This record gives sequence, C-alpha cells and structure tokens, in this order.
Amino acid sequence: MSEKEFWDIIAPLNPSILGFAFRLLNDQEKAKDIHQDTLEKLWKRRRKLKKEGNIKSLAMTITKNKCIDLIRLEGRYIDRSINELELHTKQDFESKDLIHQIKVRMKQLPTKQQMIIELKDFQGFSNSEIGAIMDMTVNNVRVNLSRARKFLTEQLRHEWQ
Amino acid sequence: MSGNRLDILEERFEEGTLNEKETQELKGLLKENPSHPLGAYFLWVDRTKNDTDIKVSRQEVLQGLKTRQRHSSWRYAAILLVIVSAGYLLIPKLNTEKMELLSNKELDKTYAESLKTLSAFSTMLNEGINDIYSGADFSTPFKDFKQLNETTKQILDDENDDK
Repeated sequence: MSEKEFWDIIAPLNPSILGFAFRLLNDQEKAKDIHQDTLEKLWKRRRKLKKEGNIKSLAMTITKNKCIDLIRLEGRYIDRSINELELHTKQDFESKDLIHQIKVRMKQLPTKQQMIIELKDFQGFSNSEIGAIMDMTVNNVRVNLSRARKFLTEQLRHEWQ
Repeated sequence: MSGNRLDILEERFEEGTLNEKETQELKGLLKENPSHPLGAYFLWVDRTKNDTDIKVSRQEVLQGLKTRQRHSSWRYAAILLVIVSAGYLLIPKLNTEKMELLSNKELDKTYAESLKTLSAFSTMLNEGINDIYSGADFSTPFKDFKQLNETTKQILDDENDDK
C-alpha cells in the first residue's frame, strides 16, 4: 500500500482519534503522540487494512487501549464512580453554569464510562460497535451509558423540577 | 403531544437505548423547547467538540510516521548490539587466551606422549616377535617390526631435536 492510499484511508479518522485522545487526556501533545502511535500500528497492518470491516472501530480500539495505558501510567484511572454523598458537593450547586457542571462531572466518571460517553455522544458509534471497541457486551454498554448519562444530567433534572 | 414524545425520548436517552435517528429527533424537539435543561447536555457536546478540534496536515502525519520508524529501527539495532556484546562477554569458551593455552602446550605434550607410546609398543612387539621366530628360517615379520621400531625412534629423536 502506498503512502497516498494509506492517507486516503486514515485522513477521515484523524479528527476522531485526536479528539478522543485530547478529551480523555486533556493534553494536546499527548493526544498527538497517541495519534501517531495509533497510525504507526495501522501502518504496520496496512496490508490487511482494506480487508478490515470497520477501520474506524479498529482505530478507536487502538486509541482507546493506548489512552488507558497512559492514564493508568499517570495514576489517573478511575475504577468506580464517586458515591452519592460526594456527588452533591458544594461546587455542583454553587455553579449556575450547567455546561460547566457537566464538564466537572465528566471528569468524575469512571474512565470506562467517560470513554463510552465519548464514543456514543461525540463519535456517534452504536451500542454494539462500542461493545466491540470496549470489549463489553451490548447490555453492559447500555447499563454503563445509562449510569453515566444519569450522573451527568442529575443536576439538569434538579433544575428542571 | 410533543411534550409526551420529549419525555419518552428523554427517558430512553437516559436508559441508553436511543438509536441515531431518535437522537436526532430528540435534538430537534429540544430546539423547539430551548428552556429544557437537557439542551445543555447537547450544547456541552457541541462546544467541547469545537474546543478540542485539532487539525493535522498530511505532511506532518507522514513525516511523524517516518521519524518513528527510523527511531524504531535504531532501537532494534541497539538492542541487538547489546545482546551480542553481552553474549560475547559472558560465554567463557570464547576467551581467546584459554584457547591458545590449549592449542600450544596441550597439543605438544599429547603428541610427544603418543610417540613414546608407539615406540614402547613397537619395542615390546619386536621383542615378542623375536622370541617367536628365533631360530626360524623366515624373518620378514621380524625385519618389518624392527624397521618400524627404528623409524619411530628416529621420529621421536627428531622431535626432541626440534625443541
């Protein structure tokens, strides 16, 4: 496969890979490194790329794994959600900016749930595609997505009632 | 009517069971109801997407790939060099000094001893044959063994002279 052919395949994926890594890592340079790591891995598999059913899913799986490795290395991996008591912290109710509240809450989510929100609402993957990328059952994806969205929109519902 | 539909879609959104078409429908209904707080969620998604948009050029990406591949090759070469060097230093049989000691001293000694053994053996054989054939008319084997003994002694003497 020539460089041009490779570029034609990966060019539409660049914004997704970079956006995914940037939003999870909060660091543009690290996101660019992860992007290059992902492309390097795809380049090594370039002979098989055309046969891959969903290249975007493959690219996101590689990116997700690289991000998890880095987040674990930096000791920022969140396994469990913050409990109910901690949810109603002063900062949540002090801020009237709903968008800011969602942003703050997103960082408090378990890392896997952050990734599921990212893949669903930012990248537009279906639950079954997310299952394949995250190595989860579709039902597990739905449960985690539901928990994450409820957590993120809790304050919004409070405002609405 | 749209209020009921909005409630249903909102509930399914939270359950994580909305498909892409229904998600677009929910977004449309939220635009019609701008005061609905769920609109803030989609606004957050849109704003975050815009804020985290990174542009990369083809040249930047492909150049980065080439640099990485070059670094990767050097890394493998360095690892290979370390392994080969460690192997050479750690395997004692490859020590040249010990090899030389074996080849010079040990071989000379073994060669000299083998000549002595051959000489002793031929002497013994010669004496035995001499006893057997003493008084007999035919003496060819005796002559042959005698000659062998003389030749062996001559070689041993030559070797000693060389030293």
